[in-house]
Amino acid sequence: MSERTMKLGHLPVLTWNRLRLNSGRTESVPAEGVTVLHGGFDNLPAGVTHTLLDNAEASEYIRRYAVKQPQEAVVAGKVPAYHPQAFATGLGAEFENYLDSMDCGADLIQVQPGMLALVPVIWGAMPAENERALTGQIIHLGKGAQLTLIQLIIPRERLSGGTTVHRDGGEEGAGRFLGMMTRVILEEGAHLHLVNVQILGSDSVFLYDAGSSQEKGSGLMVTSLQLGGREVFNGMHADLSGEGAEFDDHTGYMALLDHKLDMTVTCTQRGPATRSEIIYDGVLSGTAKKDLKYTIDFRKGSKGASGNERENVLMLSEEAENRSMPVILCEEEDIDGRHGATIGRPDRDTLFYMQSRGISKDAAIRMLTKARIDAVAQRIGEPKIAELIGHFTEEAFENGSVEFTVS
Amino acid sequence: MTEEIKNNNVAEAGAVVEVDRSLYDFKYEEEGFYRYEEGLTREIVERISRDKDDPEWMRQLRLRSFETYERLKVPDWGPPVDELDMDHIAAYVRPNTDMKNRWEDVPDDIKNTFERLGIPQAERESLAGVGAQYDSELVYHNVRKEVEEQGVVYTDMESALKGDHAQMVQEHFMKLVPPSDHKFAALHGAVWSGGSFVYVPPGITVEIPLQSYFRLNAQGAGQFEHTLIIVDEGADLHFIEGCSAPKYNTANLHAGCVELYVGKNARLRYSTIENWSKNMYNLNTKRAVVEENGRMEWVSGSFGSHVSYLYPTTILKGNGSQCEFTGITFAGAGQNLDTGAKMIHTGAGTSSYINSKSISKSGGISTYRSSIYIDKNAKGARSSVDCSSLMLDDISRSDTVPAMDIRTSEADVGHEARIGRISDDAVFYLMSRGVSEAEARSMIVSGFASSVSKELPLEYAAEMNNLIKLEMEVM
Repeated sequence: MSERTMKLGHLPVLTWNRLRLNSGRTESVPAEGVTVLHGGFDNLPAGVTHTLLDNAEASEYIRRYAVKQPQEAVVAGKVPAYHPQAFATGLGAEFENYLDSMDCGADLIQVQPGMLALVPVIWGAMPAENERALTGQIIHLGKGAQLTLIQLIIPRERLSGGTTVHRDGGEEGAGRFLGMMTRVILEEGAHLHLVNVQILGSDSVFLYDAGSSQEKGSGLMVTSLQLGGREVFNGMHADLSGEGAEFDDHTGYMALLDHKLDMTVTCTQRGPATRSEIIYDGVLSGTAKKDLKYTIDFRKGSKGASGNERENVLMLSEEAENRSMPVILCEEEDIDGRHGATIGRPDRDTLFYMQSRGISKDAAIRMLTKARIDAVAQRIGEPKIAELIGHFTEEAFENGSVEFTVS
Repeated sequence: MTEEIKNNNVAEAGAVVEVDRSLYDFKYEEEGFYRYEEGLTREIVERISRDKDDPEWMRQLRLRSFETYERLKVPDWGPPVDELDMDHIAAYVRPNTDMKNRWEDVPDDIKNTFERLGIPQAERESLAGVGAQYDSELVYHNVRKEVEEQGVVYTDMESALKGDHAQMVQEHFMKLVPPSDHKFAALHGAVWSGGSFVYVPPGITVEIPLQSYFRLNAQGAGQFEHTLIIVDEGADLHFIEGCSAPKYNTANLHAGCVELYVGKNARLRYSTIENWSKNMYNLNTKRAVVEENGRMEWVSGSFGSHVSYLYPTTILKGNGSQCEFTGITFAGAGQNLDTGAKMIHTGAGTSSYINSKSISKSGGISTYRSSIYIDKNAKGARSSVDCSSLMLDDISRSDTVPAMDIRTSEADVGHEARIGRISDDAVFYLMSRGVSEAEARSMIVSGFASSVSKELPLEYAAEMNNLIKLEMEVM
């Protein structure tokens, strides 16, 4: 099987090339032998429909319904890296073109205007061992509609059943690969809670690419847990065009062993009084490498907008590597943009306190790690999924995947 | 500094009695000056080396740098430099005098320039030594006798190359900033001229600052001074750098280089008030390395230039070494100022603190760019960044582009950034106390910058406040 290299997750503006943070790079994208997964939804809530689109239909749909953005001249003196995309996504044009070349198409999930889907829609993508798969979705919520969509990315052997598609495994030794693109269109006042839980194993490569186009008063809440995978790229680009549109992304992650996790999130705030909240909480252990590039981009016209980026990184191992790039771009006077980050080992005082109460250091570190992940998982509001996440976290400690060297 | 500035400083808070806009923007003819033709060729590099009677190693360094310059590309990540055409820049302009150590001996027009900038007066009142560079060469250099008697060496770079400290210069020159670092470092290596060499012996504290002032008078020319400072074990120095130029309609280029070596338990403060004219491309490189328990302090004010790339870098090599960077950037009309700092922690128990302020106004673009690197051996390293940006209108832009690369769990890193506008409530409050809106805004901006100005000697803080007021008046 041949692989191809790809640049993924671009910063909207460039910085020193020697930092190697302007974009991520992978050599693990299959050039052939991929299957395309499509959802099989049997019990969708009332007012929610599912349609299969081919590439041309998906492009036409985006062109017709997503808010059209002007071709951008420059951002901070440079053409933005996502510029070639008509609908910007976190991983960028190269990944989009790849999906097109593989005839990925898209599953269209539409929610009728005014419909409040009280039951979450669960999309399970469960690639089998050695399977190499692609999938794409367009989620379109009509005016005032509400939906929770849970994307579960788990190895087939961990769970069966549910509303999902199963495929046979691929060539032995190829490793598991899943490439996924989710494009979200939110009309006025629509609200989507997009949940992405990924607990793939160490044989897996996962590329997750998402983007949103948001009209007045709409809200996109993202709850993401990236807990496994040998190589994971996670990209999100929210485009807040309408007045008062909101983007709230809380992501939790664990990068273990020698895993590589690359995350890129950009929120472009064009509309007045738009609001963004981007929070990343994570744990690094072993020789894991993690890159996080997160940008709030206040455009002209975003008067009264606010944006907040916050990152907390718990480094459990002396060999782990953390790289962060918190960017704020601003061409509007009346805005409030903030960023904060704390990066380091578990707090010594906290560890000491816990040990003085009879909790061993190992148990204390386990509690701190679980607390970080649980805080994100609680937003999902689905006990069974929270249980699955808790089980996976425990398992990572039990099987030695969480290697910590802090004293 | 001039009486004018001092008067401004003692005026009531925020109220500028009168601002002399000609303070920096005046020029003299280049009568009798020796000016190379525009452009950059190997022949020009060789001619500079020949004219300066370089030692062979320096000639070789220049030629290697030129080859590197030709090979490297201009940066693709910062403000555009497309309009900087090296074919229209004269790499070397020598004024019609050699270096003097008495102001009376300096030709009148050059002396008048520095008089207007307040340098001789500052030297008399508050400096231990002064170097004054005009275009490509130093025209004045002097150090107080008592400082000289302490064993402190403060001389022009050309003399240092051939004097008692020639070996020391050879061991340190462009070792911290190699010509391969980037295209404009290579350019500097090829055509550098002027600048200062300072050596402070072990245990010596220089009680009052030394200052170098760089004035680029020539139109369409480059200034490429090299500053090399070595503060030996346990020594202490404050060095001040100032720069300005008259405004022309064509591009000028400043590609200086500053290399600072801070020894064990030593301390160096390097303060800069940069006020280049707004046709200047300021592509300057500054770097320091700090040994065990040494301390490096940068105080930086960037006000001038059309385009600036300026990121003082500190390598915290010795265990327990520290660095503090305090900087302000004010980008007004026609300016794209890309500034910040880099901290590289390689020693255990090292600490760094960056406090950066930027202000954008009248279409100016201000970018705060930084990088914190903590090596896996830097156990117990701590780093904190606090960066604030003020937008004064909606035609300007302000960006923060910081990077953090942490390679050990035994580190504590914190980063805070804010971008916002002047609070309407604060303006309203001041206006309710009888202050005009313009004055209120000026006062608030000065207050915003106070964490930087309070780090400067009084005269320079006054100059910085004056520059802020100048910028605030330009609409």
